[in-house]
Amino acid sequence: MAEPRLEPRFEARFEQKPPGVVATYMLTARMWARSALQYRASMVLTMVTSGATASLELLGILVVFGNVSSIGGFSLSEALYLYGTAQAAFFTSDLLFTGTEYLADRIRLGTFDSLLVRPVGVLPQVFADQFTPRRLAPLVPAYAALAIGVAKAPVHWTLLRVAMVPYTLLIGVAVFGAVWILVGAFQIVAADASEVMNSVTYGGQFMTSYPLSLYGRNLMLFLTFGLPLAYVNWQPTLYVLGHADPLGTPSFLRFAGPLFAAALWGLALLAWRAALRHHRSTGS
Amino acid sequence: MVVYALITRQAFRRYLTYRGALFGGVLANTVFGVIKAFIMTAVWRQRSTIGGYGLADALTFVFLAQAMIGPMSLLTNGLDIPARVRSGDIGTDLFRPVDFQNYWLATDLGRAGFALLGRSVVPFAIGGLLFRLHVPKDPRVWAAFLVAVFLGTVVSFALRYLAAMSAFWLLDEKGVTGLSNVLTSFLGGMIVPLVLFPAWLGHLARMLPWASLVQLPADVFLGKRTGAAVGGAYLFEAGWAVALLLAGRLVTRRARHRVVVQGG
Repeated sequence: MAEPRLEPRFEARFEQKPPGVVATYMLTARMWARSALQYRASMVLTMVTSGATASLELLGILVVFGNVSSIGGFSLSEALYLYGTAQAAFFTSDLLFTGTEYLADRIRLGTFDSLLVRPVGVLPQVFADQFTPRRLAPLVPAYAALAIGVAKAPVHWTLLRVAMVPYTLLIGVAVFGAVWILVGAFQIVAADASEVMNSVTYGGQFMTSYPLSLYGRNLMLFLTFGLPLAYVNWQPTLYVLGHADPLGTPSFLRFAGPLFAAALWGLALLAWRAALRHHRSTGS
Repeated sequence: MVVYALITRQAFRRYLTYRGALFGGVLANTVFGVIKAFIMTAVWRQRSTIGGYGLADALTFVFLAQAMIGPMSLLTNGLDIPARVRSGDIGTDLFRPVDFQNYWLATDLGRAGFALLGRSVVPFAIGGLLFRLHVPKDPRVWAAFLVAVFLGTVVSFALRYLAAMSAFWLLDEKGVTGLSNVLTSFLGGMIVPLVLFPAWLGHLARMLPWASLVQLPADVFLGKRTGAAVGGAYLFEAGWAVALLLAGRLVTRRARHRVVVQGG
């Protein structure tokens, strides 16, 4: 029997080069954003609550500093700088990569397969999954805190220190991005216990918002050489604000963020590939 | 009354099924408790008492608040009403031969009871292992504390019920429940303990219903309220519970007139 002949136009589509990672991401994100924007009133209200929720933590810091003049050797303006870098990095990574958080639902419902059969990369589709402009709202208090920190902290601004601010955010987003990939890999393997990773993501966001020196030597060692959240903002901020590392680490570590971020991305991508191979569809 | 007890038991057993989620919740509540405890330690290192709280009191408050997240559903609305309004299942709920609001209260108490055993004990115990907490030895204090927790749970339900009922008008309740959660986080003392608030805000917060959730049970637990003052705390909690439940009743009546259930 003759093979059914596909329409020429349909066939031609597959002869084109499949879209790259960025194009896939943008396409998927635009699709989800358009879907979210169908409900304007709901979008505005949830943006307000997202922004308010993120502002609350900031208000909390101000309340704390109403009682004491410094925390862990950081003044209010220094603490705001540290807080701002952590929050800005986290929420930017949240904007870009947080789709991995919805994987557990897709695994349970069996809809993950629809991402796998598309002729484009899986990871960019997952990153952009359920993308919504709502995630822009928490960036407002984050960058506001950072701006106040930059303006008020007693820093002797050299060219290098100025460059360290965007550098810190870049590395911070990269480190959190790797964490989001690990979240995705974990969700595929253990969909039932997906909440476990909240302690790493949101816990990491909370931890890096305060001086790591508060958490004691052991935890600091772990965050510097184990799960390298210290490079989200703590290590570069020590340099910008001119504080010494209580661990006494050599000063080149202030600039070692790219190394640790790259290593974490390597590990995360390995974990992701292993998880994809582990995946068995729930379909019937 | 028996029927509500049965509903409570069923809800309790329903949540027993989600063990993975339970583990994740316990872990997150513990981790956040530990981070908050480190931050509070840094604050109290500079001042030995703030608002009548010593370091042990503050750390105990932190871990009590973490322990209450589950039973009082302090970070999420936790009621299925909005989802059921959207799906139309709410028609079944309105049709049940039991009072609508009491049905949801009974369900929520079952969830809360399960969360108290499943999500409260471990974070507080781990907090007690890692930090020096103020734990009462007198079993009567524990009993008085649990009564305050029960009343606080009813207040928490009444607040979340009001927010969830907005779904009858808005269909998408996320804005309203989100704002309600924001108020709970801040005025309930989840972000920072109320004793750190500036005086005027602290006084105001202690008059609002959210003080029933963590602050009053903590005051009883820490021995800041003894004797007649415990009765005062109960009166405060019960007063807000009744007022908010009545408001919920009013809203329910209006919602009944509004609802149109599709399908057949």
